[in-house]
Amino acid sequence: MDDPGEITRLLHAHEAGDRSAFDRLVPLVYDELRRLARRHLRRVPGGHTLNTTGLVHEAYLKLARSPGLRLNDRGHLMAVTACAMRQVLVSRARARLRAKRGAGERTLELDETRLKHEPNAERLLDLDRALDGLRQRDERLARIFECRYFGGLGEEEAAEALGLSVRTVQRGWMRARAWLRAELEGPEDDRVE
Amino acid sequence: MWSEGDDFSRLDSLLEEALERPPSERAAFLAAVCPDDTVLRKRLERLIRLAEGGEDVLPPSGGLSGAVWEDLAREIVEGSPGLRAGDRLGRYELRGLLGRGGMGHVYRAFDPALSREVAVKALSLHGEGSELRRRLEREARLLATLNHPNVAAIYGFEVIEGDPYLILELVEGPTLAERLQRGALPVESAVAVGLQVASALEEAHRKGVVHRDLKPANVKLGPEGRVKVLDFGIAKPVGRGPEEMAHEVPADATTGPGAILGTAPYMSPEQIRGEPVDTRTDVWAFGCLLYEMLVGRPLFPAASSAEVVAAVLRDEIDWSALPADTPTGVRRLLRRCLRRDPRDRLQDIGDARVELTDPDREEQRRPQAAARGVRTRALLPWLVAALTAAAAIAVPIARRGSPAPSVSTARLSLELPAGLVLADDFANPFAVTADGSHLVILATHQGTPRLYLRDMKTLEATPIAGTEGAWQPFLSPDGREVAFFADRKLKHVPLSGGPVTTLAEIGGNPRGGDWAADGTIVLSPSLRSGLARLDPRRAGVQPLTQLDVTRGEGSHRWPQVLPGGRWVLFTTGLETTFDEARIEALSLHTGERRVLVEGGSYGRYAQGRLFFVREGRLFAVPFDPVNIAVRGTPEVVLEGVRYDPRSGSASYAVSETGTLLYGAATPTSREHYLAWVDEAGRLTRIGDSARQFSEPRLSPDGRRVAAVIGTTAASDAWVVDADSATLSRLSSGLSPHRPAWTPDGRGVTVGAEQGGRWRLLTLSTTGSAAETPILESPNRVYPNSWSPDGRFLVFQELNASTGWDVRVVEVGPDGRPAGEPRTLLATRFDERNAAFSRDGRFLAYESNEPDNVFEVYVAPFVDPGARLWGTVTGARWARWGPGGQLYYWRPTQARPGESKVAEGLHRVDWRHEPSRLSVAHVTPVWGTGPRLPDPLDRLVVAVYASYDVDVSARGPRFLVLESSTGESEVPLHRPVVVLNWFEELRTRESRRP
Repeated sequence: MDDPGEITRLLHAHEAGDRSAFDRLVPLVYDELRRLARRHLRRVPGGHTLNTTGLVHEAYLKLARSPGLRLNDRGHLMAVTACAMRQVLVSRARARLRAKRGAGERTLELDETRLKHEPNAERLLDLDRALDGLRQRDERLARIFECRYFGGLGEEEAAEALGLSVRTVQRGWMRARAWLRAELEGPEDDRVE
Repeated sequence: MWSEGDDFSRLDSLLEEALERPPSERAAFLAAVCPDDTVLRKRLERLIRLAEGGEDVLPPSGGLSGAVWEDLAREIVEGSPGLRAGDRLGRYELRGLLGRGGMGHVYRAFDPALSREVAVKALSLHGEGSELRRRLEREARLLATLNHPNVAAIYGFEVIEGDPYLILELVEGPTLAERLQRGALPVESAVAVGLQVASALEEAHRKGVVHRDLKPANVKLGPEGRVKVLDFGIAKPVGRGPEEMAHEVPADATTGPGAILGTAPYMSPEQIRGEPVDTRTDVWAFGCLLYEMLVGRPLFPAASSAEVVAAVLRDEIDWSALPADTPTGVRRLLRRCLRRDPRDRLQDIGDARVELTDPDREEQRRPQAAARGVRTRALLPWLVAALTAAAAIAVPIARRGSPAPSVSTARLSLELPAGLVLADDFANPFAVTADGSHLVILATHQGTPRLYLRDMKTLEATPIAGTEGAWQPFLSPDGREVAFFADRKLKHVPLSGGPVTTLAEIGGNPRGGDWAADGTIVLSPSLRSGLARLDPRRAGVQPLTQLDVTRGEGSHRWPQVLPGGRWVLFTTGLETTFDEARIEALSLHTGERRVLVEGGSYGRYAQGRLFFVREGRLFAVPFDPVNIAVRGTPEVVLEGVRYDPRSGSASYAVSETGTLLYGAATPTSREHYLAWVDEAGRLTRIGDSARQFSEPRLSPDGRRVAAVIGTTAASDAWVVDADSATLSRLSSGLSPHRPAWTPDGRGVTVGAEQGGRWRLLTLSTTGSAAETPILESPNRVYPNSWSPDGRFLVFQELNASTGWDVRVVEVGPDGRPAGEPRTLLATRFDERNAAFSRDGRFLAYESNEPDNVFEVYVAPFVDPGARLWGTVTGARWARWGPGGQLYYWRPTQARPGESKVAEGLHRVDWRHEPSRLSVAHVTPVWGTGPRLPDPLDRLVVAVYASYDVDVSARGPRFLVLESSTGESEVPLHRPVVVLNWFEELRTRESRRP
């Protein structure tokens, strides 16, 4: 985030219909999220007092001070922040998974059949993959889920972030969870076991 | 589960409508909208249930906390921040951004202590190991000793708030690159600049520092004609590939073609080939620099990096472009600097300084003719290799007939476009066309995996449209289409782009496929299945093989149709690790199966060789594809290929023309330290050498550790003194499993296989080399635990019909069996890892009866079926503590939905009563829970490595394996391509006796 004006510019481009602007925004916010979290963790050793929700809110508040930002942009910014949070989490999950995989080869037993019962990191990657699938079918549902789950946004906040009614967000959240759970569990007759 | 297009929308709107209604009215609604479509109704019912579902991985209220968050917190701490003007960084005040480099941002900053401006370079070591950091630090310290007027000084290496920074001399003025945009320099100026650059290099080389990335952008033209060379040695820390010197590749790799191999035009031929570089690489770059200053354009101007690669390796240098007034001495110097073979090149940059100091001096050097002859010979193989890389003409060369020119093997590191990471979780992300002309790579960009096509002619990578979410790519026989799994379907798409066609519905966990010349596809549809065949002209997937569970077969996977289309190569996963899997061939005509290799997985055939992977090493063995027979002994042909021991997949692909594409891994990662962890989570190493330890076990007095050291293929039992860390070996070439101490501490009982039969035997630890056999079985047997009085040995046995069972054998005073073994626990589920309590009255063991999730149970030894107590949230690897407590390990998400319980070690304290146990309390000891010490990141408690945890008799501390790397494996951005690899293999084979 070397140029705070860049955020405003991209938000406006996104609003004007440039869909790629959203994806270009995410890395800018990603850095901000990490920066903030670091500061927190330095202040509060252990870091357990801050959760993703708090972090996303704080990052948002900070970014929302970008010059030239209009009221409309602020909602979008919230959605971008949630998306960036997802990436931070997913990238960490990947790293963790790789770390685990590097170890213990010899004493490994059986196959990945046990995965289902194993670390959060893997569940998170599965979820990430499933969410991409949902996004291809219904971008709005996916965004609602992203805002609420990864951004920890409340219903009203998510509604504002996405320019939707609270009712739409409520219903979308339920449906998104249904689809994602179905995808994560697989068809009932074809469970991974 | 995803349904296609309209189907999804329809289901989703029905779901929405149903959810609108109160639960009592939904059944009627469903009956009304799908009166006779029971499939649709079932799906809707399920979705409604899932929408309303309770707490699981998707919490009802959104937001994340707990273990996931704590993971994140760690990641964030390890990463590197973005900074801006006004921020303070240690004692430095940032005043602006000077630029962005390959390794991080460079800031202008003020150092109040010395009252001067400096440049601060943030080193982003995203996910890089601490080893790299240490290396960088060492290097920075070395560089800081470079003190020369033409070298931009490195003031120091500082770690500020956990992040590494280089503090550099701030040099004002334009770079040579900026100056060259206005055209050539006058000859005298070029010589003057060249002289200073040569002089800087000479000083660096004298100190043993190679710049490695000399280019006009790294040369500053300071005030008063003072030239400063920047970025010595820093651009490329030791041991990384040439791609480090890449120019910045286009940022958005998904929308435009991005050059994978970004190559600075100043790279020497040996750098491009990925060979080790030395000071002579700087000599080449110096030649390029001097040439460009005189001519006003780069030595090899080219539009794309592909062209540059080809040109650097091949093109004639245009000497006529040099200005007419270029002194003879300078011309001669240029020719000597720009020889492609470093052995023919100017050996000492100091000579350049001499030459430039007096450029008009006439002096006879070696006869030109001889030098040229050497050069031509040295160049020839390179010419061919370069052409192969650039134009894929390997086939025409071969056709041109005998005698085939000797073609050299060439290695290229492929830089994935920015933001892309190779996606090789579980499955191989690579495919190569048979002629080696195209590579297909599965990579992830911002979380979305896609296939990328890399044409070896243009060296550019383009995303293949419609392949989002793809997995396990394989190519059609004509190499024009790529098939892949996505969305629980098997699909294909032309490599050149076009419509995506769905071939079949497959489950969400396929394990490989291959496309036969007759158009049928052989695949492994799920992770515990036999092979199946799909004929696109007919509907449905037909099974080809059945798993033989009586022989311990867990899966048939990673198929490859052999040339001729009559046989299929595949991997048979067994009940152990994939390092012990089998490579087999299946006749598509008769159904006959032949075992080709025991102990290996991911077999691939190319050009008379069978390749496979074992323990992260790539092996090759001569193979007769007509008679389907291995001819010879497998040899390691590549150390360190990325390999997933859970799925048996390896990240490599070989073409018939000898193009190898692979992901490199560090084979050292399996070396670990023995260490103690106390209840506060603190680690203390036992000794300071990392070895391939596994299954460490404490002696009854807690002073010695029995452990297996070695690989699956070759290991032995050792005893390590816990105080002095001295090692003594108990066996020789035995490959033992699961050491278990005898109660007197004089022996270690192990399980081992010999000639197809398994044995339990006790190895003496008193130096007598005696072995006491206990029993023999055709089944796999592992010792578990000795009763404290030494009368009973409990062991586990793998039975074809009942899985792992717990059995016991009574042993006489001489250590030999006093009777036939009896079965203690045998169900069709697994019972295993039994442990005697310290008083010998109870057994703790694991069982996954009745729902396939492992829990730890405690039962009386006399009647182990009568469970007195058990865990409920998933647990493994019970160990009794010195005071009778029970410790167990709980993996994350051991039971679906139970995410609130911490991953890690838990302790059970009992209220003892005469005939039964009742629990006083269960306490998490360390792991991922709130406020728990968490050493997990440094441990090798990979969920699979149960037996690496033990409890000391001397107090509450635990014997573990500490990872020697201490850091995660880096995400792979740079696969390696080896051209004409078979040439190297042939050379290697011919050297063999």
